[in-house]
Amino acid sequence: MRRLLLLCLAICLVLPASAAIPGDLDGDQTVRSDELSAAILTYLDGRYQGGDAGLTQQEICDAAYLCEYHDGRAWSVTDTSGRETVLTSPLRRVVVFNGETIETLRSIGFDTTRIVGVDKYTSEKTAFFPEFTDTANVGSVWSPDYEAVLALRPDAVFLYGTTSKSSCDGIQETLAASNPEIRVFRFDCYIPGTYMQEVREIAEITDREEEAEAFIGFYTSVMGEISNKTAGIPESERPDVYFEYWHDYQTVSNGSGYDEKITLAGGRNIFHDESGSSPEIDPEAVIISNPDLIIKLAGKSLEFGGYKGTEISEFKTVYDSLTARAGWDHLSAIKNGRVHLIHSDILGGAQHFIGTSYLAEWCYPEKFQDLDPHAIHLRYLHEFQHLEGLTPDEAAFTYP
Amino acid sequence: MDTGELRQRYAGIRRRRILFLLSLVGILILLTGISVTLGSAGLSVGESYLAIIAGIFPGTFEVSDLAETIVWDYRLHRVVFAVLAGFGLAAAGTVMQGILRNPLASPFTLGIASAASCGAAIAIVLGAGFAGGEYLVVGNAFLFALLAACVIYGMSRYHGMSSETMILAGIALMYLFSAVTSLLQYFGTANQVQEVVFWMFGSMGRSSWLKVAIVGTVLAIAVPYLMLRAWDLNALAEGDEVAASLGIPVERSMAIFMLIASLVTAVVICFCGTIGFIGLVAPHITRMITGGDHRILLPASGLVGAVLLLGADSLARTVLAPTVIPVGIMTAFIGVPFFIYLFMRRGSSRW
Amino acid sequence: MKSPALLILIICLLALTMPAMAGSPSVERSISTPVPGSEFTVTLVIDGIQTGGIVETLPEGFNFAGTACPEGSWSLKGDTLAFAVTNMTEITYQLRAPEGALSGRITGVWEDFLNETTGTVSATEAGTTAPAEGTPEPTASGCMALLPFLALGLLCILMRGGRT
Repeated sequence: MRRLLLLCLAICLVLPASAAIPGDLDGDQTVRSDELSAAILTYLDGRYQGGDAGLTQQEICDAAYLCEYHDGRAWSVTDTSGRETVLTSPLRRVVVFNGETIETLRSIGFDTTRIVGVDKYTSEKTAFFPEFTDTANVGSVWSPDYEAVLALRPDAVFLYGTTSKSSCDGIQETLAASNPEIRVFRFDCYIPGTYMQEVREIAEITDREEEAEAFIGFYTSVMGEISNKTAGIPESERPDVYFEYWHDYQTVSNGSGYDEKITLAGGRNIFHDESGSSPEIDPEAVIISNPDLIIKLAGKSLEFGGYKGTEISEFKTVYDSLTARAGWDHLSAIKNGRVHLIHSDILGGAQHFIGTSYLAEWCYPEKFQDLDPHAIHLRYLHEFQHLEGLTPDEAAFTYP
Repeated sequence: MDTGELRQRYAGIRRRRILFLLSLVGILILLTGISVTLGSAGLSVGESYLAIIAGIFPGTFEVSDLAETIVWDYRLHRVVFAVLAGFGLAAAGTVMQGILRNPLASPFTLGIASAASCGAAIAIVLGAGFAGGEYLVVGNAFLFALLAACVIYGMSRYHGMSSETMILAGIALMYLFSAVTSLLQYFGTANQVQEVVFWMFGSMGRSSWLKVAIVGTVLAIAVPYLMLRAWDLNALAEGDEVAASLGIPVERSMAIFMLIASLVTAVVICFCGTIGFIGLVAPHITRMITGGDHRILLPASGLVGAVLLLGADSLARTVLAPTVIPVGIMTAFIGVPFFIYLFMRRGSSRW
Repeated sequence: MKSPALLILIICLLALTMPAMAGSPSVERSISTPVPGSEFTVTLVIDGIQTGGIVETLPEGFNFAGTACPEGSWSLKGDTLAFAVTNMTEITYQLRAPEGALSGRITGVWEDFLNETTGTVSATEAGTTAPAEGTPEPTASGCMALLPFLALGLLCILMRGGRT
């Protein structure tokens, strides 16, 4: 028994050494400047002066990075799943499984040439992710291509935080089993409640705190303005909103992200209390509740508009079929012209703040007269996503 | 036992069957009357009926616009469609069980429902189909269902039209189409998969007066024909040799019956998705009460199917109102316990 | 060699290689005029490298004579001299020129550990008999600039070789 304890103790002492910081000579987990100089000389000696190979080029670069950005110490970050990861080197070869995280990395100015593998949905979005058309395709979280991932020799992999938990947990476990050196990070990057926190954490991982603060400032200026103006409004004065999915009479209730965005925009989803996050609803219930505002989602199953920009005329067709529904001519929303279509490209994902500002504008036209969601959209694309060439028409995302 | 007693007993049986049929009609009318008043619009019972009458005879009663719209544009066609669909599926199931002499025969076992699902999946995932716009899924489902029927017919003709060949061909097709559907779901996005699954659950919500008219027309042609040939069905149910010896053209009859059943099933399923159990369970329930004579069995099981489907749909609409549960789930929850009850209660007689 | 054509060639090459200099990390070397038997100073000007390393290869006959850099930031081994670059813009060291007329070339490589790039310091001719015009001016480093400069150096050597 005692021997076992001693063995365990010995192993515990040895373990930190295996996660040692390159360049740390005295084992104090810090690379001081004198240690750094010594490490540089050791490396140069091994590389150019015929000495023994002491440090590899990657190790000395890691040591330099740590000295420069983290006072020579390893730094730790907690991701959305609550897991804490200790980092001793920068991210050089990154595989990202969710497009929302890629978007966020772009927003904080991460060097996208370091992203060596993307998921298949990102590969397909050639308009929005032009720089990744030739990047390796690693499948999706529901069917990941492990061979492709491992062949890319990544040092970091990004997965969803809370969505598709079992699939992502499976990927995380499999990767850890084959190569524990790969650091796995779990971030959703599309949930309004956690997005800003995630941006900060990702900035900590990639040391882009400055750019992240600029982006956070932009995002909070939009969402903050909306919440400030809608905060004090009591439930009874909020506009009743009927939100319809791609399918007729399929709506959203609590538990759905779209319901959350309606609430953030200051509206009241009339089917908020129903069970199931996207239930099919009795058409009579819509007529009886006489909503003030009707919003229909376009995109995915209603394949038009969005960044692909195809068949924008379909917006009008769907709109007309909505207003032509039997008995809907009595609805106040129809009479007041408060029926809108919005594309899921800007209401879901990392761009939800753009869609939410449209929703706020439609809920309270007078309060948000100065809010210009299209300008916010373009600023996001040009300034933060660095897609200067992409200037989509507003008509591709909302109607009327 | 002398002739008089036999005659009495037979008359008694006939009376019981007719009573059953009439009570079924009564139940159906009652259920229809109740279903029409169910809904989230909060209309009173009187209002609903007045709206119906006002729609048929305009000007007779003062009814609010809202009530009339609700009843005529949302409720009534759904109720009528449920009745017609239930009738059609049950009748098709009865015919199939009759000609295949197999208690498990139903539109599902012959692969027709699976083919319709496959067609719908192709329309949803690949966007490819024969009709455009909103009839993309419907057109695909219908044509694929008929395709399955034709394949079974073709295979049976090649191997000789017997119940065994049809069932084997049907099972094979069922697995094939299910595999294709699964493959499409595998390659589809999460949304498309959800859509396919929702379609396969079945829903009465997609009904409209046009669809009611289409299904009604098909039934109006098919059911009288089946009633006329009900005696042939009885003979076929006894066996191929027996039927042949009674002068029935076995192969031709089987082909015609199968095609009619497939057509009815296809036209119902393509509009409302694959609704299981009606075609399987309704004939069995009826048979336990009325016996195997198709002259009674056919209309009775049709009515039982209509009652089942209408009851299931009404429950699906009201249990979690205003959320609507897919009707296919409800039919299983209603039909199966009832079926088990009857099954336990019956004697050791043959199915 | 007093060929005006060669001078014009040098100036043209310089003009062509200048643009390659802008923005990227670089290390330039310059030397004070070597006098046989005494020390001369080699100055390395570092631009854009925060943390890195430089390794100089000293020509034969030229011995290392000290540096102002603190102990622990440089290391001499044989004819190679390594420097650890940590936030400095200039490194100087002394070499002792050989007695008599001997010449050699000082070459060097640099590494930038934060930008993860490497490059070479353009060779510097250090000769006690080197003629004035023929001394190559300090030019931009970087791979693109190297080629025309090598050509120039080769030209100079050939010209000089013709003399001796």
